[in-house]
Amino acid sequence: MSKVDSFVARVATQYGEDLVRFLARRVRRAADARDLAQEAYVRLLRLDRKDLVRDPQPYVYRVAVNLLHEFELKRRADADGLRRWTQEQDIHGATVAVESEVETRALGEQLTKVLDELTPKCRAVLVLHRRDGMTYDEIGTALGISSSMVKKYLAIGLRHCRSRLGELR
Amino acid sequence: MDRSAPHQSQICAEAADWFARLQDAGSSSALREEFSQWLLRSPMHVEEFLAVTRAWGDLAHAPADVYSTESLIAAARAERGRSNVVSFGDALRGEPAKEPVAVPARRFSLALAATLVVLMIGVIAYVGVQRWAGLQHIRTALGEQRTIALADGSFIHLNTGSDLTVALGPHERRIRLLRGEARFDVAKDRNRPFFVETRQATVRAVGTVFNVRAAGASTAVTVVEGRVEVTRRGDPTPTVESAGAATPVTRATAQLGPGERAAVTSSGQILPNTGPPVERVLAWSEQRLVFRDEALADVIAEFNRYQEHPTRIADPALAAVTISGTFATNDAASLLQYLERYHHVHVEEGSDGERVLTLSRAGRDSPP
Repeated sequence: MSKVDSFVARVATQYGEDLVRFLARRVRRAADARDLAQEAYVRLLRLDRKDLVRDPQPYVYRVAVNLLHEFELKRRADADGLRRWTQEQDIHGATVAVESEVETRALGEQLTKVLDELTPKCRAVLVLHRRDGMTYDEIGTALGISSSMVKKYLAIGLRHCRSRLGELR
Repeated sequence: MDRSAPHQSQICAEAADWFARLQDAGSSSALREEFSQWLLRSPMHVEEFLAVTRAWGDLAHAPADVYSTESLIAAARAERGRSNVVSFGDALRGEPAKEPVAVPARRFSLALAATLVVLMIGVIAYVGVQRWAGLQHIRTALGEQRTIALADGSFIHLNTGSDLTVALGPHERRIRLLRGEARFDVAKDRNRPFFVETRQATVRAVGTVFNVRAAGASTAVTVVEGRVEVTRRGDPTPTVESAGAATPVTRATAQLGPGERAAVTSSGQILPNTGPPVERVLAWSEQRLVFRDEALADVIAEFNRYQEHPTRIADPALAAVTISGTFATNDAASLLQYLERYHHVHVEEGSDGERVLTLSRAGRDSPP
């Protein structure tokens, strides 16, 4: 695990806090996502509960990123080669596929479609919070709603995006 | 796990709600504790949470030329006038299955489409599945797996070479697993407890997912979701300690939670942490076998449960070799190839279809 841990540390450094986006870009197929989630669940069950509770969300991502890395290794097959590969591989070639402009544009089109299905408030909350980094309070002030409403809009919007983006893929 | 669409959309709503709550700067330790509990309740919770996370990650790409910060705010503020129309259900978290009222523009066509999708998935889910009600006898042949939908909404995934009976009564639901292995996805019904009986044990559940494997002299129970109570058979009134200096003291019942497992022996002992681990339980219905540093002897024994022609290890040195990996149950060839390639195993096929494994010459020179 130590090798994998240092891998995660490097991804975290390179991406800042943004393991989330890393995850988002790497899991492409629904079947992979399911395998990953099952395996992550099994590992979370094995964890010391205290470790998980201290910071559950980052912990889940860490476990997931670890697994992604391991899956990647597995795909590259054999046991011995695997060990060699881990040592040799440089993080750039191995894991971080550069997003092509085409890919980004396709995603932008999907997002436009999905976001247009939401009400203006819901749409604004999602994008202002995620893309523009505004806090609940700032958004609440800008839109003239309470920050607990912002939270609710965010949940509804995320749910919608998760289902619809899933369908469009 | 069977993913009926309504169930999934409910978990998705919960996941999105959790995500939004955790984004809030002032998340308390009580909240984190509650979230951890939610996560550990089911693999689907982890899956949906990661899926919501993924949508979150994607949203960073919302194109700025379409959605400028100013135009978003302006449109949102303009929506105000209609706010009495868009009444906002406050009960989203309490009743996550309830449709949120935030998608008015195309809500009706969307709702219709969603209903159609649900219906279609329902139909597809039922095509490959048989329905049973009343007392039924169900068997699977070697290498065969079946999913049975019970009239109460529960599902039974029956593994290879298994045999069970189902009786759904007005006051209880009772399955007798005579042989083999099955995973039960139990529909909640507080008034009708769900029992699984084997020769050694009775497992009681209300609404949960668990696996029972009846192998000759013992019964192993593994819980995926929820809780079950395992009782050894032949205990009319469950007494707590089993007497006798020679046998270890065991309790007559055991409570198992998610990820926990136990086996009941024919002498009535309940051994904690024994039986198939949860990852194997989750994997078998996808025709996968997962091994982690397990002795080849055990791996082959597990594999043989699915094969008409067994594989035999002729070399004692080989039996102790440990391997890790995921293999398809219906693809013995890939396992054997893997062994030949990486563990110096020589495979010989007998005339009766039996495969015999020995250590190859290269393996003798440099032990595996």
